Amino acid sequence: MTKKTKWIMFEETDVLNCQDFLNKVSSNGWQFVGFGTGNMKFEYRPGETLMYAVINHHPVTFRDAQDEKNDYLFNELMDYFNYTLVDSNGLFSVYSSKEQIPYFTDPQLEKETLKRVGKRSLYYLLLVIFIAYISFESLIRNHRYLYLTYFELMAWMSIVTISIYSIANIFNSYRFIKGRQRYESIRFKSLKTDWLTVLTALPFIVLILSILLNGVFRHMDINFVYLIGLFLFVFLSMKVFENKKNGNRIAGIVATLVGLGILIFLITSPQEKTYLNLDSLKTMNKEFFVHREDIGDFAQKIELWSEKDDLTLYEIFEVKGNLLDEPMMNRYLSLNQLESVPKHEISQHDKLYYYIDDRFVIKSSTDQIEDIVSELLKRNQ
Amino acid sequence: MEQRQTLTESMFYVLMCFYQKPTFGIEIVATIKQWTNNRVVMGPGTLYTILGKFEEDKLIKEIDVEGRKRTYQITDFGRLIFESEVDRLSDLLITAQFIKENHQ
Repeated sequence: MTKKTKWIMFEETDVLNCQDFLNKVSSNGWQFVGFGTGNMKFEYRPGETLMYAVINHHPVTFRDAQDEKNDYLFNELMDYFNYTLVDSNGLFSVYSSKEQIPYFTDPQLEKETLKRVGKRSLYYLLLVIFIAYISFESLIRNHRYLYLTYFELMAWMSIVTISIYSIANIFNSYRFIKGRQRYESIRFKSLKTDWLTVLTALPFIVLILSILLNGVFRHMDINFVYLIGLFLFVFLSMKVFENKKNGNRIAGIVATLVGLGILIFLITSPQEKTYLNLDSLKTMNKEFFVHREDIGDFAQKIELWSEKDDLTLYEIFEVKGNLLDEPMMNRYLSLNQLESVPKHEISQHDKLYYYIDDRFVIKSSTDQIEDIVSELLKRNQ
Repeated sequence: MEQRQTLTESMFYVLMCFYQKPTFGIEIVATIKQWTNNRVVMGPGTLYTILGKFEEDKLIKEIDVEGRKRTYQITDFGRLIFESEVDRLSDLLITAQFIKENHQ
């Protein structure tokens, strides 16, 4: 086998571990040839040992405001030491040289310079935690049902995992700031795929999916095609702007801007399309169970207090399973002049008696409900 | 200048180059290699960082840009820092020499 791919997720504070790792595998004949999406590619070229320099785009120099690619002095020095750009992933640029002169030869200066990496990483992690907090807040406030939906469950698990992961990484950033930059990272032990990486990437994907899918499934009017289009736009923009000579900087900027755009869309989206809809926070309700009672084997009666303007007692009939298909249900509702409301809006209405199946909420009164249920059951048979 | 007690060896050599004459990136590397008989070899990151830091701290200033070649010159403040560092190191050496001669 002359080619290998190592799947890995990077943090800014991996800069030195990554550099040490590339130099180690290079001495064993495995040369880094480029980044893929979430991976590193290697080729086996025995007899060739290269010196690698892994450079964070901004904070590695004292000229943060300048683009290193346009910095003539930087290029002049890299050329002089025969360092050529192998690839860049928007976070790191990897250079290699046949000369065995490390990029940094003064440990004290390296330490001082990389403190900035730690600080930058810290700001980034705080932003991640802030986003996790918004999601958490939103989940709590938008929770309307008496149970967790699958999507809510997924979102909860993701938020918890992301928070733990980010807090753990804050310690790594702190270590950088304090000048203790090298730490044992199991992610850079070998050329094998780092499965932990895949697992840590998963919560981010699941959180986004659960938020979107929850919006899609709860509110069918959401323009799912629009969202897919938005993601495609991000992906294609990155491909179009991807320019290895420019170190993917433009791609990184585009991705960040579009990512922010998506986040703003999720947060400000009208009509309660997603959990990250701040408008829906205004109609927040807390619900407390009081009593649950089976009615035959097809329904149950639930009493709960809902805290809207003041405490209101709701009496809800929940049927196990859907009784009728949608057209028949609509016909039944119009025939009996019953009004239906979307299920998720139940607690935004005045105190009423509700009949619920998996899709509909029907305004009704207690004395009618048993008749309605039995009639629906008959029609369904 | 940022709170720095002493210059590192690399920084001291770079400042020494500028004290001698205005110079530029790769000439500095070559000069230091020659002065130290290849003992001190500076990586590109080290020199790039030092030049950036010195410019930021106003120890040197850019006086010419010719293509990719950027020439810098030491400032009066840079001279002061260099001379005070030389004095400090001289004192250190005198003391070290005294200790060595009297404790053999």
